[in-house]
Amino acid sequence: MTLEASDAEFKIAEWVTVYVKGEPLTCPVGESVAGALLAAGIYAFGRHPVSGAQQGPFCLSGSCQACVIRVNGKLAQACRIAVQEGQEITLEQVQKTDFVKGV
Amino acid sequence: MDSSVTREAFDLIVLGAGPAGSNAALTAAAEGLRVALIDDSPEPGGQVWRAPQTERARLLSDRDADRCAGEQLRDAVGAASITFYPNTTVWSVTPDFEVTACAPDGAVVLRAPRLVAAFGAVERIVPFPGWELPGVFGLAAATALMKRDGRLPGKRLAIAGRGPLLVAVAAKAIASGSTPGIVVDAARRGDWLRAGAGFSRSPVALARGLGWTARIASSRVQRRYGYGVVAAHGDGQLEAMDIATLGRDGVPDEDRCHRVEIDTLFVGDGLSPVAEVPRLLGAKLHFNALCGGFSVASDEFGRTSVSGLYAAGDGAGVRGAAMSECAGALAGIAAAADAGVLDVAKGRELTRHWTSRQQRHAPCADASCRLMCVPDARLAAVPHQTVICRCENVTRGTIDTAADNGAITLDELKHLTRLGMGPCQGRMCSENAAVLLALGSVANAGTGKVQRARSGTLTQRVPLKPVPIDDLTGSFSYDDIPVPSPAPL
Repeated sequence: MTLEASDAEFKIAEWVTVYVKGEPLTCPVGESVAGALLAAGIYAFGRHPVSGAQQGPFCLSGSCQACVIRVNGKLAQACRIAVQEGQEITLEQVQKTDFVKGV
Repeated sequence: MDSSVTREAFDLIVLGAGPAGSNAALTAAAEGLRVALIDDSPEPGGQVWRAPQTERARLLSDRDADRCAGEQLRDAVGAASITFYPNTTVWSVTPDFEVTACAPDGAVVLRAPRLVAAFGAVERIVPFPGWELPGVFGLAAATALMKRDGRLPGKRLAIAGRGPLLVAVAAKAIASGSTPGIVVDAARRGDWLRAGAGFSRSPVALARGLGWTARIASSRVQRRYGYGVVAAHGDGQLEAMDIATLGRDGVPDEDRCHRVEIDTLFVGDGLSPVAEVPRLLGAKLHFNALCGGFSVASDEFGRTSVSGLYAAGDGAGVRGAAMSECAGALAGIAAAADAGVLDVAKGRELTRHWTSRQQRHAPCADASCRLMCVPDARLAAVPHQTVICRCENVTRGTIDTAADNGAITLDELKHLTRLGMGPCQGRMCSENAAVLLALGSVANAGTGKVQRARSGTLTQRVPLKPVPIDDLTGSFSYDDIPVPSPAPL
């Protein structure tokens, strides 16, 4: 038998609270920042540095860099870091100059 | 300033802790080599055997085969005398195998006479207008979310693309409580039946595949065979997609196209090797469409044209997890043998074990890879306004113009259009761009076969991944620079 997901079965999960643009968001311990934001319905993580259009995470496996946001003021790939109690998450346009990249 | 830098020397450095890298490390360590294993995830397992990080993910994957394989691997790596560097992003490798990486506690600089490159694969997605909207994700993104976090976002889900991953994602999404409204499969039923012959050579894989298929069939999910996503719509976020039937040549029939309202789409069209370290070090490559593009040329042990450099797993050419385990172990055997620590008889026995296993899994890997191949004609049908390079916003039309203006190789295309110069460094677009460039060249010549291989690969440079400046400078402060007092006037 495969476990079907229902909230009742996950009551044992511990939760942490992070702050997205100052608003509290409760998420399961260990969850990725990207996963927590997406589960809360936040799909747009910022504006595309070239087109200016809304941009969201895409590959969620560390390659595309589209989920890069500021967590506690530091640039981070939201798909690669876990939520921590009290984390401040800023969703804003990541500047091209924030990266050192290969050319 | 150097306080946050860890420097260490090893006999072997293994890059990537998926099925290939971990098995290379385990095999080499068992023969007494001092091995460093580096991965940017918190635990070994790679994408396919990614470790659950939440309670929910642990409960959901309780009896999952990938989870069990992953736990076995993690236990083995934990028990072996391997130095594992978790959450560590490699951004530089020099020709004498000095590896520089960003770890959570600062920089890591490692050195070894031998190096195994096993960075796995990156997903390929056939682009369509609107695929850059928030709400459109890669197909592997769904597995990453389910395996790591145990839940998928969205209320109206669609899963689309091609290959075994499509079926796996759909079945696991249903099991996790996020039932998709529709599964859009580029393959026809006949393609799956043909692949069945190859799958049947790996009974375990076949049973899993049939289990996934049965779960999809027994749910109320609409499964469309021979369909593809041709557009996504929405105002700042995904609201709908257009799907169309695909002809035998893979070209969508725009007249038989209809709209489906969704808020979340996971779409993927197979995998390409992440051969960035072999490319950086100048290893010989060869083009292999079945293995996802340019693969690393090597002997059966993964020895590349660069002395001391071994390539294993999907990063050397996409063959899947079962084949990667074998290739990794063989690379570990070769590294131990080349270091002079492997007993000849034992080496022969180990080699026999892993090569026979490799041969057993080969037909299944071939069948999987064939299902993941994107026909050139499918890309030829991508509309001109479609963004191809997501980072730099380079469209199909811009690529065609560059081809008209004489661009033949990906490096020339990059030079002319900035394609591949954004934060992903060409990971998400280069395979599609290479085909489009080849198509453009054919159009210019007016005749001839599409020669994707002629587009080559993007020249690999360091940093391999974008690195936050803070991580490079560490505790460096301008006040620490000794400034000589100015010369007297």
